[in-house]
Amino acid sequence: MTTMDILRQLDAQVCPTIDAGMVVTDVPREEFARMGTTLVQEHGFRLMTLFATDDRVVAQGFGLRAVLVHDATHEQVMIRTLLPEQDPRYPALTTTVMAAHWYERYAMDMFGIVAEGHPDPRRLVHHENVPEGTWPLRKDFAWNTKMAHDDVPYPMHHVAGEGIYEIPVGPIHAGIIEPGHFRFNVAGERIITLEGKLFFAHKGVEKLLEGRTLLEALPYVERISGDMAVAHALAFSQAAEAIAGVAVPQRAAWLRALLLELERMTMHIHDLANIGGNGTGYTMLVAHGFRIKERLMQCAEAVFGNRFWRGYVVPGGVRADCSDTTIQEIAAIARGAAEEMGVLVGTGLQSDAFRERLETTGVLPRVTAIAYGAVGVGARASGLDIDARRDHSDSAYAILTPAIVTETAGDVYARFMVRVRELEVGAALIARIAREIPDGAHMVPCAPVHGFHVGVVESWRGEIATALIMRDGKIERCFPRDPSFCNWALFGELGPGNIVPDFPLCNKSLNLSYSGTDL
Amino acid sequence: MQWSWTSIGILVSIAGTLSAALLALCGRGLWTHRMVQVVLAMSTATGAVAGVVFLFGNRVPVLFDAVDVLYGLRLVLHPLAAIFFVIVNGIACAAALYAIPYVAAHQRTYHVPMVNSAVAVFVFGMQTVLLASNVIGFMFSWELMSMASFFLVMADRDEASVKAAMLYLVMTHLGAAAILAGFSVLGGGNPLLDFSALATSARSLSSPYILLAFALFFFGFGSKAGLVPLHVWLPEAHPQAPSHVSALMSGVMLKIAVYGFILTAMMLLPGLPPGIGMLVAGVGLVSAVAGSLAAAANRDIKQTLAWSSVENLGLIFCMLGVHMFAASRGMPELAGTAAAAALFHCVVHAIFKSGLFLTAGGIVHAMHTRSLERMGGLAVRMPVLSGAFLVLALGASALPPFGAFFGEWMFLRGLIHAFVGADAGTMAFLLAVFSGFVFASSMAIFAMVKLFAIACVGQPRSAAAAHAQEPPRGLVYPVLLLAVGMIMSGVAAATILRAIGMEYLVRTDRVFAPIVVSGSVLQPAGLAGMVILALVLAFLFRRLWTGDPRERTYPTWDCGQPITAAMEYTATAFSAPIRFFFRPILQNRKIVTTAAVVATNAYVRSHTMTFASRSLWMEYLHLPIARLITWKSTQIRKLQNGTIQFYLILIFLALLVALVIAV
Amino acid sequence: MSSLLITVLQFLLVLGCAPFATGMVRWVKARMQGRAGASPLLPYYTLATLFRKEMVISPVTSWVFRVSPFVVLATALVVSAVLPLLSGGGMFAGNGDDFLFFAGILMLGSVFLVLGGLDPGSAFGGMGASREMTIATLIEPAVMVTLTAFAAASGTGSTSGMLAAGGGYLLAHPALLLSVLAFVFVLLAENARYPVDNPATHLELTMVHEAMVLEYSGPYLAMLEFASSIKLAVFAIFLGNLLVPQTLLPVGGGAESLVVAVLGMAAKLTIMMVLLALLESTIPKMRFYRMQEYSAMAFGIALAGLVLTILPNIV
Repeated sequence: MTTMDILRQLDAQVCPTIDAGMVVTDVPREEFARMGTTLVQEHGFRLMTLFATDDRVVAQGFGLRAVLVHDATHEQVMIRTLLPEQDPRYPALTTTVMAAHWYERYAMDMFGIVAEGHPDPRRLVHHENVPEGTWPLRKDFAWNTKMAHDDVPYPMHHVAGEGIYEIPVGPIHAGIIEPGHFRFNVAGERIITLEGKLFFAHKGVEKLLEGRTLLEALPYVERISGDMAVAHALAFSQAAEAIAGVAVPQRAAWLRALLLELERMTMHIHDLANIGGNGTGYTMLVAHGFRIKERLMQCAEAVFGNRFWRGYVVPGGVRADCSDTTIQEIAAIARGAAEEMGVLVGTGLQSDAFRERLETTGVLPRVTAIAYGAVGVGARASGLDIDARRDHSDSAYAILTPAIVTETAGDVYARFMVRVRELEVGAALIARIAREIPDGAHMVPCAPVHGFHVGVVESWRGEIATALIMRDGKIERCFPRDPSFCNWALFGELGPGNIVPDFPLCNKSLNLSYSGTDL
Repeated sequence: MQWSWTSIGILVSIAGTLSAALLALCGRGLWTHRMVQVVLAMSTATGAVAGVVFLFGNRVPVLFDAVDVLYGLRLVLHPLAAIFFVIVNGIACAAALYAIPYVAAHQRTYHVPMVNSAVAVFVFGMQTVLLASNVIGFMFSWELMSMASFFLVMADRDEASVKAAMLYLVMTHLGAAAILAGFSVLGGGNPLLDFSALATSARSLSSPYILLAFALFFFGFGSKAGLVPLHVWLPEAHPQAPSHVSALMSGVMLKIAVYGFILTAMMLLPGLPPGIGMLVAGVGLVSAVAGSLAAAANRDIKQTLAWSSVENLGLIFCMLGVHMFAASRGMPELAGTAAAAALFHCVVHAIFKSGLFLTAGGIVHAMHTRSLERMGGLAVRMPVLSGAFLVLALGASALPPFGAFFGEWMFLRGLIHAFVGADAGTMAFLLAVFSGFVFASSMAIFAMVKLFAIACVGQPRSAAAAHAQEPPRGLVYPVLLLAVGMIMSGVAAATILRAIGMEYLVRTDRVFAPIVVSGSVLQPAGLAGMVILALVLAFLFRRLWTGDPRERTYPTWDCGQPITAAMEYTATAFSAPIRFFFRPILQNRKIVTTAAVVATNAYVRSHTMTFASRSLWMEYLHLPIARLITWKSTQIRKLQNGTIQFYLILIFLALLVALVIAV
Repeated sequence: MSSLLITVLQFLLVLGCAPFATGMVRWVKARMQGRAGASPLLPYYTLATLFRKEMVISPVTSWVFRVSPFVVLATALVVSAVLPLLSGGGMFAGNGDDFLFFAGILMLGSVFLVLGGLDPGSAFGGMGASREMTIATLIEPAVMVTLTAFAAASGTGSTSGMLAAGGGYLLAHPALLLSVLAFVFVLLAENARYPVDNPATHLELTMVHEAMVLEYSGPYLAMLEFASSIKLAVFAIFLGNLLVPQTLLPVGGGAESLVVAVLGMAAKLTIMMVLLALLESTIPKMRFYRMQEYSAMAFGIALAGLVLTILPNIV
């Protein structure tokens, strides 16, 4: 049964169409949740992204779009509904699909549309100081609006019972990390519940992107999460290219893959050092791991002019070609870094005390990972075989066919090992790119005018899904969904049962981006 | 009959106590109440002074032949009893002073005349049990003490109190029955025998009978002292009583059990084998470990203290056991040290435990709850009481320079010295004692720190704690008195040792003399002086560098999010690692129940935590026995079928059996 | 040299070199991680700066908060004066340097540190306090049993007596090496070092010692930091003395033996700090809920040392 058939069977009224490889269907708002639920629960779809649009000018209402993906058949479905301007309500998808819970809260904060029956309808992005009725992503909200200070309650969850106490940590931490508040409910050392309060530094990226051209928007997109510049730029560019209907030249696609893998290697080395070193206090790992990582970053600076590979990936290809000798040199450095890191990690793993810290810590069960729509390393370490490089591959990855690494235990050790093996895979990919990269142009013109697409890229953190709507050559709406947005809520599941001093280890094992979540 | 100031003092004190008991029944007014307490305080003060004078005097047993009216009952004060006599009277005096405002403040809760009278009878019972020189006198006073305290446990007529009191009643009477049976075994059933005659007749008994008598005495006095597994009543009953009675029960009545045990097992019974000493020490150790762990994990201010009593009595019995073992093994040095340490610890424990119970009373008076989880921040709100509390808690932790440290030091020094040259069995035993003792006393520190810290420091965890104020001065002074006593017990440890007849551990007869155990010297006053000197140095050090330090007040670091009292450590949380590490022993479990907010989404849930704590002993020992008894009783009840003829047959059969036995 | 003079000299020397001990570990650790590292003398500057700084004190705190730094520092001062660090012939030799008193006075310091940590009512202070108290309680039996082995071997409870038997001591009782090992366990736990605590961590949820002193600032913080430096130095020198008591200043020793004693003490301290840094660079921190295994191990080793030491004496 094709996806079209499923949709028709679900509701005889709908008439799905196919748009740039994606099945699109409009449903009445009462049907939105039921449709999504059936696709997820009965047909094995995964909620990839869900976002709202302000369509009041053209359609007198707010649009709500959910993109679902079937990871085995690689099919994408978009369910779209229109909520009337005066009464923007619909039955919540979260009532049945846990993966939707942050998306729906996000839309409530940003657009003022109400997901009725949401089990946790608290604010998400807006903190206490934001007045009621502030909906920043509505078109009539100017980006430079000065808001009054308010004191709307932002209640955290409490565990009832005498003897419970709460540990508040953050947003200001002892270490230099991004702002995030975590609240533990504890009766001693063992975590009973754990909840995060993020969104302390909302940048307004989505608002700022609106009305800009692609090239104006690109610097913002690259800086959504500093350590994922390539991946975000790539997801954004792929969406634009699909709307424009251009095919990127092969050489450009391979150069993009080279950069994506370099970024992945660098950050995996960082994570291995950080989990192993700072998380457990194994200073040897962190001291040498960061040194190795630094080699790759200096390589980036030498070749691309900055330490984070920014400004290279552009819609239509890459900004400049790269000589084959340079690629060889990059590959040599990457190989060396991977080998040295392999030795270092191997030494670390010989320590029982080290493995003991990682094993059975922060277990994320497979069912939970599926229910929350987990992506990336966190999902693969719990046995979910998903990787956008294979499932939504572009022209380069279709040839490169990277090996997908999964583990089953779902603990910190599994996540550590996924990274260890992905590091090897990455080095092998880079070596192959250096050997086999095809010749050709490095760029084609890309000028999308009108349309919608979702660009999907497997960053080192996990799947990025950048939804892009263009109107008259300008960005109408862009929702770059960072993998962290899907994975943050997992802490509520993998934290409890661990002891408080092991939480930093769990945290580092997912290494999520605050900035990427807090657009 | 030789009259001396001491004997007059003692006579005055018991007569005064008795008259206080009668006076209490004369009226319900507060004026009568105050009179009663003043009389009681004066009589017990007299008794304490008389006891001290006796101990520092010529120590000739004081006799009152004049009271020889009831079945040859004579009152005798011998040196051992005198130690306990001082404890009883000293603590009772503080308790009486404390009761003046305490009972007055709770006159709606308690029936004042009844409570006052029962307290006086309770004290009278404890005084006379120490003076009794024969079985009937001893048992009579013992019962007075037990019954009075039974009524006092349920003085507030609360359901929990009545339940606790009933449990106490059962245990104490099983104990009393065992003691009486023990005396009967020794004296051939004659309850009028003098203790000296009893000792003589005991010498002619064969060893199975001696062992039987020992077992009965150990059961009887052990159940009163709250030794595991006979302790189940203690953490229930002691906290339920009014606080000054809790102080008397935990601080003093338990010591009467120790006295009784020393009197019977060590003075009356001849030549017990070393195994008995090992048994006593073993039971003591188990009690100490179980008590200290339970105290560490508990969340109720008075129950923590009650568990701490189980622990301390365990330590005392452990010392006594080692004494018995060493005495029967011919190790006089260890025997002497262990006995000294045990008696010393009795004195010190009386001071700090009654002081802590009186403190707890003051705190509960201000807070109207015993739960530590609602306290916090009392050090700001009641600085004087909390200061005394800290001194007493440190004393109870056996930290230098307080008294309990020196008691434990003597004992451990004695043990270590005995290691050298001991045979393998002795060595194994002494090592086990050493390890268990050290473990229990370390855990006791944890319990005491938790108790003080959760109650007194940090933010108030409830409105009651936030508005708490220093209790009336009348409640604070007795505690201060005992806190001073706590400090003196350390500084003047040598004097106490001399008073309890352990001069051989003291080198000179100065008040602040050093203590010498097996060649090791410790100078309590010197050490205290050193600590004070170091404090002064630390202060000068700070002054030297900074002069007057500048200060700024700024809220506690909150990581950028406002914090409340719900975010500070609780008693439950503080002891969580201990609960986790010793879960097999403590048997309490956190139960988290969750409920999904929406039935169709299992991941958004609300949580509730409760604590399931159960007692291993209750579950696997006491309740099975109780069930067995209930079951047997139901079986026997079948006899009661209501037909007269059947009863007549039964009576006839009983007569026949009696005849057969008689002939 | 009079015993009073020896004690005063030792006291001043230990206080003087205590910050160096802390700085030394940090410096060696930094070198081992390939960093340049701050000078080992940095703690002196830090302390001097802290003593001059303004104090920021939470309104929640009570007198306990203000008393704690003094008691903690006082206990450190007491042990640095009493223990035989420079010489076994100080004024407390034989009448105040009992090892049980040593254990007790250390515990007194820990208790006040814990109370000071809880007083500001923050979650971190409580966390550190609960962990510190647990560690202190569980390691206390090991402290006592470890030193009991030396007491049993030397026949005296005084620490100077334990060291007085001289160099052939460990040779005569090789089992005491087990006790020395147990003492290392104790040293690490009591001083909040690896694998029990990570003194360099920035992860507030894993802290023990740092979490307790979080609310202290200015002179109070300086006192607490100084006290923990002293404690570390005292433990390290005492461990060195247990192994190599030969350099101790003999009673009535002359100028040259004084030089030997001072140099020996400095050498022991430096070597111990280098070894500590080496250890901390090569092992990860233990999971906190393994603490009972750590202390049980320490206790087991200590007990084995004690039993094997007294075994030959059994008749």
